[in-house]
Amino acid sequence: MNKVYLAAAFSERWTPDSQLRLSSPFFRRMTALQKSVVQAFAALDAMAPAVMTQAREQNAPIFYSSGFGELSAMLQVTRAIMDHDLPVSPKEFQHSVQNAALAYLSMTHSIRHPCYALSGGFLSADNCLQMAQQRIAYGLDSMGFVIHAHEYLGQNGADRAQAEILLLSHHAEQAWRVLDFCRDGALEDFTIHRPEIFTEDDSRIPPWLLNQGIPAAARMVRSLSGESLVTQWLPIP
Amino acid sequence: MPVQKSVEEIKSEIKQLLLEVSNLPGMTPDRIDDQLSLFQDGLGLDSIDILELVVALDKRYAIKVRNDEIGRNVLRNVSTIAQAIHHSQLQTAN
Amino acid sequence: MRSSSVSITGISIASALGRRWHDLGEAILRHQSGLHKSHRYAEWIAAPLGELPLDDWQVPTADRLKSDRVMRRVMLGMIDQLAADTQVFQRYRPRDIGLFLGTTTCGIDGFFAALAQHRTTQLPLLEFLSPDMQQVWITQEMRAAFPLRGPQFTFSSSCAAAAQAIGQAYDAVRSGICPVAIAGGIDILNRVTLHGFDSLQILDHDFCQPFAPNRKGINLGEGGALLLLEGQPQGEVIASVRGYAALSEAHHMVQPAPHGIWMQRTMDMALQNANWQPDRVDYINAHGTGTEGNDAAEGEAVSQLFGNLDRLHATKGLTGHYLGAAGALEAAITVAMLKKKGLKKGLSNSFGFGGSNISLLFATDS
Repeated sequence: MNKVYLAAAFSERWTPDSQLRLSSPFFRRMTALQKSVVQAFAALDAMAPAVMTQAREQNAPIFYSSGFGELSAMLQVTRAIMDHDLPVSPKEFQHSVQNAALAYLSMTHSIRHPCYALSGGFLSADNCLQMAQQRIAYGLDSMGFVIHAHEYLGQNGADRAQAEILLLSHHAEQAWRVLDFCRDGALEDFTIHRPEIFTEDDSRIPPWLLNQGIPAAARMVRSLSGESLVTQWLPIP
Repeated sequence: MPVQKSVEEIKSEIKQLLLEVSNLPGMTPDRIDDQLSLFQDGLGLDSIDILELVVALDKRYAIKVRNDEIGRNVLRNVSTIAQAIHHSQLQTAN
Repeated sequence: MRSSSVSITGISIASALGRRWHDLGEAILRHQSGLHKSHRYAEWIAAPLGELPLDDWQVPTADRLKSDRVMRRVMLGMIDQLAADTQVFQRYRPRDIGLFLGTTTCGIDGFFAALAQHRTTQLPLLEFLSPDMQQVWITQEMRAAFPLRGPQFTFSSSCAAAAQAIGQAYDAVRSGICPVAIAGGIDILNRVTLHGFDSLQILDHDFCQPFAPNRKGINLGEGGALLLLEGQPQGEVIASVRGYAALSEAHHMVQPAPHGIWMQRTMDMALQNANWQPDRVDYINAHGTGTEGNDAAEGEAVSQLFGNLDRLHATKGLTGHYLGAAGALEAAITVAMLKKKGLKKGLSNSFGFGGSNISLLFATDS
């Protein structure tokens, strides 16, 4: 079986004050979640141009998961229906599809890679990582992206978001880490295990929201898995 | 009976509404001419903006605009929309 | 070398056209319609819907407007049927059976419930986030109900979801990630979907007519289908999955690129992956939603690649659009039509919101 390496990673936090990494005519309509994903990809482009070129040439698939999808868009639509405030907003409805951020990623970066939106419960990011990792390990892909994003819901909807992006590869050169899955037991509890809830800004928040910085790209998965360690990042021997 | 709004009042409201639905960067109501096309050859709205505008018009003025030829004639510019609303309010009042 | 063919050894469906896959081809040939203007959502939407016969699925009357409960009941029924037909749970260990599902509407009841709790308690909505407001819920429920402990993935890429699930299950089985997989999808009618499509003004309020010159839009439907995919089949083989291709259009949220250039590219890539020439394809199942945009683009794409529209068939005028599950039902229809008409090679398209394109290939020859 092929080894799977981490070739590049970035963690992007989007707030209304964030600096633009790229300009796009779509921005006026995009949610914080969508912007965080698009900007994280742009950051990875700037940070690791060589492997990103490789990934583009190989049409590397993108596996995307999110903490409960397009929360604010879904909230707007369900709220409108509950309050009989019809018709619902067409913009919010088309943003409520789980692959909306992927669609904007594809449009803003002109990339036509296969894009998959996955839903994995409390361990969405792990589930997504498992998909990309297995495909490389079993020789289906030589490179693959994993993106996990989450919105922070505040008083006025979601104006902040966080995205983690990982580029996995079977190429050992330029790699930072080896990715390894512990199958025993962990796989069975993959989607159901409920991790501990942390507190930030008086809100109880799932722990994947708390990741920051590049090392978190590795920590992300480890912290997610709670007691049963689903994913391990090992140093390059 | 509600007071009828003048066409000029409606125009000014619609300009505000256009900015709300489109979130166009750097755009202000005074930069939107009454006759400026709402589409690519003018303000630059796309199909999603237009649908959002249609919903906003429905909620604000109870006017139903369909995505057909009649609807597209109504949605040409601020002036055509204001006239359609004014017309429908007169009809409702009578 | 890795196999490029994975056997389909069982098919289970849930559709207004019936519960049995074996009857599906006949129903399509007879142009039997599952679309009706009288349905459980008539209070809100005056348009035909392809509603499941919920009596047949034994859904309690009180649950019928709760789409997740309907979904759970129907999905249990589909897996029961598939298991009875194929004995999959007797023949494979739980951890060897993969589950690849596509859905977009699962979790909507959960979302409404969370919102209601949030309003009642005034606590942040985050307090109430739980998997029952995510698509993965249906997968977890099936995992709890059946001996399914293999890889499990839930796809939610709008109307390409179930086709993506089948494509990924095909890869998983042929590469050895799991020796067998249940793959497909389900979507159930609900008010979010209905009001959303109504706002987009792409519903036909009469019976929809995909590819007709005067088409006015979509009729929505509900249901789904499951395929049992095996690498080393032990029993009867119905047909096989031969490949697929997926791409993103990078064009628009809800409209295909002009002339269907990326739709054409998707189909072309799928044919290349399977090493098929376009003239060898006997049956093409169109995404064919009935909207002006999709059908114009898809028609052009098929004409360009296949020379004409003679082999193109659209079935959403009989079933309605199953959204995330469309790719699963239409995989079942494509295989049914190949068998019914004695044809060899079929292609099925799913083109979702956000420019999420996928074409699946099926064959009845070896």
